[in-house]
Amino acid sequence: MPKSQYIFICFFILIYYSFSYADDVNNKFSGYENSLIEKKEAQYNNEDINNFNKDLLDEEILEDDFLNDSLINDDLLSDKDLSDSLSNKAYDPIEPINRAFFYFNDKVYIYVFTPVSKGYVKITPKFARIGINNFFSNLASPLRVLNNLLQGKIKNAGAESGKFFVNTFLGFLGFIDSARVFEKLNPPKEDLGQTFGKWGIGQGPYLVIPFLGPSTLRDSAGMVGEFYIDPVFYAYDLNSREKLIMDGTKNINSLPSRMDLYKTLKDSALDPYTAAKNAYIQIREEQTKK
Amino acid sequence: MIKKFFFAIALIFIFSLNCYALSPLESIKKPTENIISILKSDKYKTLTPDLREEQWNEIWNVVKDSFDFKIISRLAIGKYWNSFSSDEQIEFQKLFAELLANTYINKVQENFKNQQVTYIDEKIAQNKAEVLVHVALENKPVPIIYRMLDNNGWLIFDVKIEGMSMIKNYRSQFDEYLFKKSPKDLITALQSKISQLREERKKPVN
Repeated sequence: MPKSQYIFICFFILIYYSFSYADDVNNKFSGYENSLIEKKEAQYNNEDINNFNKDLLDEEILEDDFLNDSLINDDLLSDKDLSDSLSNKAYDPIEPINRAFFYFNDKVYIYVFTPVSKGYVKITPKFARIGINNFFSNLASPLRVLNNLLQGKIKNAGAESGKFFVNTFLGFLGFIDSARVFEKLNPPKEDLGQTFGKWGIGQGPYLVIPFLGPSTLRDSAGMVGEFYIDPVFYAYDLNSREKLIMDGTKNINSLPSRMDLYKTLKDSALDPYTAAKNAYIQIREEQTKK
Repeated sequence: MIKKFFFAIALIFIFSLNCYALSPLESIKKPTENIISILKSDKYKTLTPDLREEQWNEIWNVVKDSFDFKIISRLAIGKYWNSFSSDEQIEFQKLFAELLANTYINKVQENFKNQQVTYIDEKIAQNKAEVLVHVALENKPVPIIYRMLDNNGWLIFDVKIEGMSMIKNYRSQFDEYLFKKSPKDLITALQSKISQLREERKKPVN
């Protein structure tokens, strides 16, 4: 049996779950008292709202140093605060090497990537850029399904497959993100780095990868792994060269937004290296938690 | 990730007025709408450097009363706060506010394209609150959480974008800086960063 058929069978099984997921979410929200949420919910991703509420109800957040009374009342700083700022520090044993690569990347971004992305924006209309971005995001959907399964998130795997199904067949092979209007079909994006995190593997040393930017040992391993476990890779019998060309197109298309992001970070920071490191670690920790 | 970062952060500065007796969500909403109307106003349709400066000041006047810069500074410095003399503390507070304003108001001015802002929810726990807002960017909403304290009206002390706390981010930088250098050096570094950002504003927006 060709591999592509195999993938499709798996995929239809998962569709079944996406419907059971939708039911579940409906039940959960029908009893929800906050009228504000009911009004807005239809437009947006349930996950965000769920996490928001969960966060606040969490006892932990009340003990968080930012909300710590002793800190706010001008007392001496508590031990908790001290330990927090220490634990916040990323493990960065090869900082001098990382800083060198960060400096290198900075020059590459300023003198090569930014002009390239400006040129690309000039010759490509916005709808095309969004369409291409949607297309690649949809193509990565099977991989996210796989990661959801590896993390044991069966319902999210179902939702992700549902999204893939809707976008592939109703969204012109994924160029239009039509699943966006079904808020149940927008689970958080999972990748292999997050899967490793779920399995209890820590982020490991912080790394700055030439051209690509911030990462950690765990996430780099995840990135390399994803190259090999991507179901699309097998479904279409792509060779590594074809896959690299695809990834290249994807990266050029997302370059303008990433250059904007980098510039903002650099402008806002006193020390861009530390700011980028902290932002990366914080965002990845949050994503792994979801 | 397009523009989500700057715009999200930019919204930090989209508030105004003394929000006494307003709910946390209202005290985010009112100034935000106010700023959006300044950004959309016909007066600033073509931004010459002078007009840009004027618009910047107008936005800053709206924004500055929504933040508790005293607590923001304190949290951003963390454990080193007591190594600042009281003059240095006041100076730092002033400069840090200016740094944030010069960074993020600039970004809003450059990148505002009438993005839709949706006020989703608020949660209050005694004198603390969190407000969740979604900003629609291209094809996906970016969640922003404002964390606020009740101090004769709700004031913002931290903003979380996509799970990243701004205060924690600045703290990691100041921590590292102050580990090697003195508060005085930090103040000088902030001053030069601010004047650099001011210069940038004088360049035409492309």
